[in-house]
Amino acid sequence: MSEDRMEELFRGTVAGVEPEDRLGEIRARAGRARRRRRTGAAVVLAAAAVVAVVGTVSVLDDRSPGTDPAPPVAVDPSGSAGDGPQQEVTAYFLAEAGDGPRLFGERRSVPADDAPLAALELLTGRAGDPDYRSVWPTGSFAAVAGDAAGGFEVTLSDAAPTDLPDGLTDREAEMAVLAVVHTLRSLPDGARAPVRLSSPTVLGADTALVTGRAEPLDDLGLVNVLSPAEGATVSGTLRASGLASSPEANVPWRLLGPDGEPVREGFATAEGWLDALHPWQADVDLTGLAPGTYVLEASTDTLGDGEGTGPTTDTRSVVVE
Amino acid sequence: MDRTDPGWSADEALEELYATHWRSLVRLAVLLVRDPGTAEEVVQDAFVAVHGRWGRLRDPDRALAYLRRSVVNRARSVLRHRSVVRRHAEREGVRAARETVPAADHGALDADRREQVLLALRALPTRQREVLALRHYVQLSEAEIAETLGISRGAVKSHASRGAAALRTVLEKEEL
Repeated sequence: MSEDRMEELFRGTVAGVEPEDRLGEIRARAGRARRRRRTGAAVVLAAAAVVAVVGTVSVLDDRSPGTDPAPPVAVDPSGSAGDGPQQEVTAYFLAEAGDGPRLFGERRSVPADDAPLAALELLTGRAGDPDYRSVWPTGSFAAVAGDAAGGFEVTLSDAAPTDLPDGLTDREAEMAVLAVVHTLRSLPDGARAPVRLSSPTVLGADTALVTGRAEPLDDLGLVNVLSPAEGATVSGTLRASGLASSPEANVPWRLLGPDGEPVREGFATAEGWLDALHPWQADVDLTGLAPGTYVLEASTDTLGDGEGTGPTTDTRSVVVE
Repeated sequence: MDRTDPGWSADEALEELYATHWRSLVRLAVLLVRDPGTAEEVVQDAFVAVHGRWGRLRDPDRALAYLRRSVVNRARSVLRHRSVVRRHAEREGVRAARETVPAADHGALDADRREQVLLALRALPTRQREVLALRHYVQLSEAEIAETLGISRGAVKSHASRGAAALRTVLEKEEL
């Protein structure tokens, strides 16, 4: 087969492919991703135009141009739980990463005696970080049976939509199902616990297929700030920590001032990279900073320019006293 | 497209790049993943990513190179996610119906032959498939393919010749 014949063959194979128009969907996702990059303080101004295009924004994003950004919403790490023993869990929400929607976690406390269901109920509420979204309606989860050793059985209620809701992409729906898996796996000894959902289909996704392929490196943001909590008040030295899989285990971080300019920067070294998400930790000296709202930003490292999918970034707004 | 204009905003760049390259990139992705719905998802993700990178790219040619690289990388990763592929396979019935309408483009193959080529491509090792698609569909040079895939020109050459040989063997058996 000659070169020309090969070319004819390849062109002829796809000549009949007329893709659907997806510009609207791309614009909407690009707008969400931009808001995510311009997190928290300082840079919400230009988002007014994006808000107009996207149309669906939560109350948290609804800031008017030209005014100071709203102060961050403080997440009470003790949750609304009573006085009983508490269990720390990581609740996973959707956000745009460098390569599409991924899951980012927030550490929360829930009542230890009903931790699995209480953890999933966090997914039906509002995330502390305004860049994060949850798509599960209130009351979606009716019960969780089982445990980390034998696996979890999640009973969905009628509030959980069977079909793909308008405005949600297939990928986002799949990620929402994976959020259930990864949130339950954040329970003690749950890292490999099987998770099954009571309905074969939810949000238009095949639950058995999707839960079966849960894999942290594929599903989770490759850098995640787990502490401090969104909106935390800090002073002295801020100890930041989280998980990452970043080239050479390098986790660059910056503290952005109220005007969006970096006032501190550095690198944390995670305990590993490539094979899993590994813990990292950084101490940020706050001495001499004027009181106000700052944004801590941690990223995956970039290897040169233009390659692959670009860095993932996660942020937390903090109030410096 | 005014290739010298550095003044586009990310939104303007997105519109221009979409208008010019959406269809050809989806076609490239079809050669890599076979299913048109999956191909659209892959390319859609690449466009969202290029919008986010525009501040650094600032140039339509670099943006196109980035889009191609991104499509190839995402196609590779999506093939590992069988649920995505399976879901779109369900839609394929609808699409197959749409595609049996005689293609407007000159030189389109008939449905059976298209399927044979796509199946033969899917049977190749990933790198061979990528090199062949970039060479014979996008018509990139060896150096450009090496740059796109992040491999040496020597490797491009060897993937191209092995891939072409394997493809010929399969397709000539099918009397193409």
